[in-house]
Amino acid sequence: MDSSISSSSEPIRLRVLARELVREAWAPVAVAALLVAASTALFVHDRGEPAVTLDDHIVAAQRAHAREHRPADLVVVGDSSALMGVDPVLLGQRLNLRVESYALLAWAGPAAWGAVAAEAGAAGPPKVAVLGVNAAAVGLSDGRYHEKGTEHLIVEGTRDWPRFPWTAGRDRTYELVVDPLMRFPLPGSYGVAYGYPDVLRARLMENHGGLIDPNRLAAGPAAPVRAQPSPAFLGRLPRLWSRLEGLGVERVMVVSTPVPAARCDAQTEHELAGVRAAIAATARPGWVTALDLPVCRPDADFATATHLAAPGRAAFTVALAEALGGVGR
Amino acid sequence: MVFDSYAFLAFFALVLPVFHLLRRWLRLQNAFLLAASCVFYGWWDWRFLFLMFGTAAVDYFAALGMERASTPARRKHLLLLSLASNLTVLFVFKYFDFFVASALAAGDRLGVTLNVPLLHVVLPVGISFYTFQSISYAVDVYRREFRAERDPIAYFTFVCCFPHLVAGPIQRPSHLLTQLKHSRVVTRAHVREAVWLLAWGFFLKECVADALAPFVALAFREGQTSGWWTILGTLAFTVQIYCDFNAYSIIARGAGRLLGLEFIWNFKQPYFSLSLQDFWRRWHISLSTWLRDYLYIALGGNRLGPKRTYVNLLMTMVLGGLWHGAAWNFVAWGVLHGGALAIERFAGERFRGRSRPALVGWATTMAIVFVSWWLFRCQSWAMMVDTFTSLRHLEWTTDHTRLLGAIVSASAPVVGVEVFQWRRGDLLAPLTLARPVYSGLVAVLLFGVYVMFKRFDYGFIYFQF
Repeated sequence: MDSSISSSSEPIRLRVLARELVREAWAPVAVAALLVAASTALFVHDRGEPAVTLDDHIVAAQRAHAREHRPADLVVVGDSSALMGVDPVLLGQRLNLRVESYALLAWAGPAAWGAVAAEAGAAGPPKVAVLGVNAAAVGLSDGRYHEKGTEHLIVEGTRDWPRFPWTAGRDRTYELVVDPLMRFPLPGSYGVAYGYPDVLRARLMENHGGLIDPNRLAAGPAAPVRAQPSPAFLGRLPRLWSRLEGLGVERVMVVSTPVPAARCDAQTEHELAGVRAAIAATARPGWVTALDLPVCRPDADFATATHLAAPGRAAFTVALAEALGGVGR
Repeated sequence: MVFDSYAFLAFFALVLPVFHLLRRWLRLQNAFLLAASCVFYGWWDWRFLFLMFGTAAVDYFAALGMERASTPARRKHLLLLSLASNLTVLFVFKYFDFFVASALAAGDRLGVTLNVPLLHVVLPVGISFYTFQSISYAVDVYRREFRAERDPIAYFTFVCCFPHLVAGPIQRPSHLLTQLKHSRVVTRAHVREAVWLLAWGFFLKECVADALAPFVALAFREGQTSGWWTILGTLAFTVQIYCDFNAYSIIARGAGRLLGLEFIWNFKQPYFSLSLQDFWRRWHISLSTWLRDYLYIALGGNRLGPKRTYVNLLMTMVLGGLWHGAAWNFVAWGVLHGGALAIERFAGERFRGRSRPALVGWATTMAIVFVSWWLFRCQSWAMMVDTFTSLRHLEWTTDHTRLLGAIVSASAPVVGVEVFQWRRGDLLAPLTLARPVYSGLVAVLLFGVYVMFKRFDYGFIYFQF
């Protein structure tokens, strides 16, 4: 084992080093490669719901919430800024209505937002839907929607999940072997606030589909938010409308979720008004109404650049309730 | 750049062959290693390269001057210049704000208004490591234990050599600089050792340390009210910090081996220690021996009577605590270790000849180490108070069972390998396994790294020091 490949006086040749590296490492590397290949082959067709990232947990929790088929007078749909920015319990109290939020994540896309709301609404069709979106969500490209395949699967109504060959073995081994062994809490400040994924799911259920982002927005200058709806986003809206119409929703209200004051100027307000008008224009006339709430809110109200923190969420929900007025009664 | 990144894997895959292609030209090879080390460090922030080279240059010229100096006084002045340069940089970047903020807080309590601005400077990565390495060079030259290095490339490569640059082990000139002056020798055994160390190091970091990090983050937070979370969280941190830092040290050693360089072992199964003194011979060895050789002995060591020895132990450990970071919890950590070492020494002298059962020694040592890690991990006074008062609430819930299960699961491979190493009395004992068993073991480690790589992405703990 200790035979020298380099005499003490002579530096090693690269070719000799390469040969020795191969000699020493080929067997373990080959076995490891076999394990990778075997796990990939085994799991690439496994369609279990992923539980790797925070996003995975949120989508899974919201879909589970939808499958409870809770009756509602008003549903909230949209991206994560609506999920974290609107308090369904408070909104329900203010409007004296049954409110459920089925808001998901931006990259799930309008078609998936509609599909989840439609699944939820099977038992008790809501009269009103509130669509909440932020500037970033309306500008996504086709590629972003296809990135995880989530949109396709939610829209198709299947519970199967896609597995990508290059991560199937890695992710599914983690989900089936490592995670049950370790029972990891959620990452970062979500872990601190919620602990484990099942607690997050339970909180989301208790709060009628609402979640609180536990982060705090870091202070500092930032470029003002600009908003231009992408063709990919606008092109998906009709599928959201058809789902909501299928449910019997009588009115849809579109609202821009707030922007931190440090990133908000007159042009931001102007462009977001344009976004709301563009969204409304994709539906049949008169059915979708743009709600013109003030967009800029103090930075202290925010958890991230797009998510409100708990106090800001409450303030925005109250403002939203006032703007909605007697709708739905 | 950090070891557990795609950037480093690509960087090392590029550096290794080019380095060995230059085998016939030693100075050129060193120059290439120096340039690669600059890329490695500059990947984080290239501007701090000037700081590192600045202090290293002062030491380089001061050491040459010491060697040429005709009088002891001049030698001393040059040593003081070198020490002042290193300690000033360390003070400004690491300690200034801490001492000023502490003084301001004390002034506030006493009703005295002080008007000293804070610097709010970024702490350069690895500053404590490379300044200590530079100091050891200057002191060794001053003590005539090592000759001043004339070749600037060899000297700067010694200071900046990338595997140990940002988190040690802290190298001594007699060990590393000597190697840089001779052609690299890589044997088959070195390659074998490197393969094992790299696989084991990455496994420790990705599958053990980073896997426990989310639990530790949950346990150590302000407002945490569960006593069992505090206890188990500290236990998780005890495993995490060891595996995190040990991982860095052995990856550095493994990478060094492939470059034909040998770095010292920084850890030798510290949690098997039967006394605190034994612990400090096994934990962060490059720092503990540095503190012993350049601080404890300089303070008089144990030559000035028992009382002074205890004071020296305490001072050494408090400064060792402050080396980790400019915060009072590190001072408290140092006081605990220094005080306990002093008591242990006193008890050893008082009850000389009486042996202590190994289990009692181990349990006592681990209890002190355990409490010290709690102090070490508390990042604020509020966190310390909250986690301490949480001990009043010791109701066991399913979350605690989960956490305990996670600690046991993550620690099991480490305990298994270390017990095997301990029994064989060899840190490289896994290399003596039958070839198929060894290959299977390394394959499982590599597969574990594949599954867990960047899954949680916590930085190396010691990078902040």
